[in-house]
Amino acid sequence: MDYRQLETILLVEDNEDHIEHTMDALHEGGLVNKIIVIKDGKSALDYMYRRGEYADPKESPRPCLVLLDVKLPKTSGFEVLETLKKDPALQLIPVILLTTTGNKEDIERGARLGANDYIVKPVEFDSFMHKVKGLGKYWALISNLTDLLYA
Amino acid sequence: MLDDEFLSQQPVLLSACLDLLPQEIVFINREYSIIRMNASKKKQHPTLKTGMKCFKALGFSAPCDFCLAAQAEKMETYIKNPVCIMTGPKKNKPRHINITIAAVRDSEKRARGFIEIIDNVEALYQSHNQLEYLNREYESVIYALSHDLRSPLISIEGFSRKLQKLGRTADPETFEHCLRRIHANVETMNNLVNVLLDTSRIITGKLDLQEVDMQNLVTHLAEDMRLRAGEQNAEVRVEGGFPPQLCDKIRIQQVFSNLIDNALKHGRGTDNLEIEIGADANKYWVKDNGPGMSPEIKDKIFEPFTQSANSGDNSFGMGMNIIYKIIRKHNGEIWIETEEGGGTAVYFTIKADSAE
Repeated sequence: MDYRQLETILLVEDNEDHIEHTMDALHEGGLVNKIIVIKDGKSALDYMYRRGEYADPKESPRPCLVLLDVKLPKTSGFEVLETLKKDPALQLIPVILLTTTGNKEDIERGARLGANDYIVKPVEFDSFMHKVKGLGKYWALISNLTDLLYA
Repeated sequence: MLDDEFLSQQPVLLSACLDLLPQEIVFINREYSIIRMNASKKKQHPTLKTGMKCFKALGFSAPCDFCLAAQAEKMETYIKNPVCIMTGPKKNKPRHINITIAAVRDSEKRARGFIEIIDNVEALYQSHNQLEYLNREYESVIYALSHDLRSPLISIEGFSRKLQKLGRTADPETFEHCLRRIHANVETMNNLVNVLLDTSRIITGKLDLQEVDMQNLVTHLAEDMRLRAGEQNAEVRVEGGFPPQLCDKIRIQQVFSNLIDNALKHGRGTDNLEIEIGADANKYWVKDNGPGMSPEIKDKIFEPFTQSANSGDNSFGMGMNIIYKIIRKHNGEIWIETEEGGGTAVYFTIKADSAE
């Protein structure tokens, strides 16, 4: 297993100000991971499927986590989520939805489509880490399983 | 003196009372012959006469499917049945009614016939539908609004917190940046509130109807727009004659101006963009050879807060909804013909003589 792939976080967000706040929050908390920012749903899928300008795996590594805004231009966050979670090759990558309103229906819809968790914006480092810890157990389980399977 | 005994001796009172009721009331014997009917029934069905078979009078050859008279006899109590029947010369006008049927019994409890009471609930049904529609629209507006108002608030909160944290250690550039972004987000919120106020004025306000020289209105508008169009090498053309039209000048100007504005905005990047403003009697259109729109966007283009992909940051997706409301207020129709890559044509009609 290539552990280098655990280093990147993909942030899919169209609002420039919100991108700045999220980056600030994560960096101020001491996160050193590389954060790649994509500003619309269609490009997010291009990135995940390494299409077009994202074809080079070195430049566009698979993220260990996707922070996905619900309301995106071109292709909505839900459509991106649905596509990722239906694809056996990508469905194990955890997706945390970012919602502006914390709207219950959005959260439930996200859960149905396979979102691993959600954060009501603004993204704050403590709550982000809390969610990631929850997912960390999940990753450990997956990597243990992988080790067992390939032992 | 008025007492129960007096009332029971005055059979003529029954008819007088029934005539006061808005419901259509008819007494039918067991052979479906009409024995008596009230004024509302006569008004609704002027051709009905006592002695007629009720179903024949309504144009049927057998008792109506929805008539429950046959069952009423066996029932202890009355039966109420909501029905929608198609009426009018073309049988295409729905009429929602509640039919109540009860047996009329003699002193030995034998059914002598039936009483049929028809409540016309069409108006209620229509207002119920209208309310449901408004409720759906209200919910979608609240949802979009909560997002579109909260989004700049989150930004303002973020930048002010950043300023607070940096305090006096902030470098002038960061300080300036934070203030600029706070200001821009306040402006966004202000614009959104203005758009909402405008929408609410269109919904609740009255139209200022006057005979408008449409040729003049459109020609001036096209001239105003040509300057902007020129910047992106686009052409704005006025086609056909525009007869004078009874309408709210400012609102209709807003419709044309928004449509041309949309065509220019979405046509950014189209070589030789051409926008045509045209009229034929009271049908108007704004056509362009821009990028067109996908079926998904087309289907919900008139709903509030619908944004297409390249509408830009300063749009809330309310423009087409506002246009729709203005045209509907003028008792007109609006529709769109478009396909991806094949341009867009928005058509509308104005029938202001019957407008609200």
